[in-house]
Amino acid sequence: MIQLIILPVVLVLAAPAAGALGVQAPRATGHGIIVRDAWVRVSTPLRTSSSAYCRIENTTDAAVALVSVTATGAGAAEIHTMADRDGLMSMHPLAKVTVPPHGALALEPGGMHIMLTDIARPLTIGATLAMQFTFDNGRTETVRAVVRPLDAMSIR
Amino acid sequence: MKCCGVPAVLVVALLLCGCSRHEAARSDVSEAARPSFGGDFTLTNQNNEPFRLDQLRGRPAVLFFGYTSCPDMCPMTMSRIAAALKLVGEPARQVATLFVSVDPQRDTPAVLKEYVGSFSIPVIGLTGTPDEIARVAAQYHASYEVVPTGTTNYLVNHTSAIFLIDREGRLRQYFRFDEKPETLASALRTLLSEKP
Repeated sequence: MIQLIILPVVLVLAAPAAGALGVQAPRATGHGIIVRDAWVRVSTPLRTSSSAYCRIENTTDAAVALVSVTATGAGAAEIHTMADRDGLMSMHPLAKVTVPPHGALALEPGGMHIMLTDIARPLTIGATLAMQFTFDNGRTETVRAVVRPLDAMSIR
Repeated sequence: MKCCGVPAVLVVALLLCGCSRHEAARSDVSEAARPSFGGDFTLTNQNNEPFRLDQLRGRPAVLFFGYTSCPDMCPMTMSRIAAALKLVGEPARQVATLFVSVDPQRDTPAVLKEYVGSFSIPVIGLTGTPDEIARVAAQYHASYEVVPTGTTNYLVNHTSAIFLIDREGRLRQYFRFDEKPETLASALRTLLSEKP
């Protein structure tokens, strides 16, 4: 509990330095939802779709669901998951994903991710993309996702 | 490279029985375990030039089917291939990595060129007419289907296997897309150890 209490303060102090190192500073809201380690794959003028990932932590006593995502400059952002049908891979949009009480949810390669389409300006490596995560408790969190190479597997 | 609009649902009819999907990873790259399908083909590379698999004769190859708008799985597959090649080290420079698009509608040579240039390893991007792509996919028992959305942002479901081709151009084995790089590297070392 000590860590939870002091986390917002530490984050505020650490944010500029963390950004310079390309490490996403977690966003602590004071109301129990933390979106951290957000990153997105590079896009190009001809390939205007991409995928974004992050970790969502819920420090409250109640389940919280992510219900929508937007990204600045992207035509659409959808929560997707993958399914394997005898080796035929498919993706499906999800209306929401639930983060259990005192639990975490990882959006990572090979699983759930945010699919971005119609990205107006190419996402270049090292830049950041503003993303807004809206939850079913009415809260919206804004994070800056770090742009990583196309074949990156994590924020680092 | 022009093709008609996106078909409502395109399913590559798999030519041979129910063994057309790649249900399980197989790590045995011995001659005895060699699949009976695969083979030579001609497509168009990212420089808009004809590319024939036979051109690689003497070099092992890694091949997979995907599309450049694939948000998650294709970059992940490429990442695993790159990790495997890194594990193999210097000899991996002989290995060709082939990305065959199952989305010829959007994946023109120009789009492919930009795409393959985004990876940390050299990749040969291949596309063709819908018929050409369908033929190659059938050869490798790969399947794909466009999921229509009514917009240009459609998805394409597709076979996720990673195919390993030996110096003679013969399909030697296939793996799941999320196979450990160590397993892929071991199989590649075997193929590299064979005489050209």
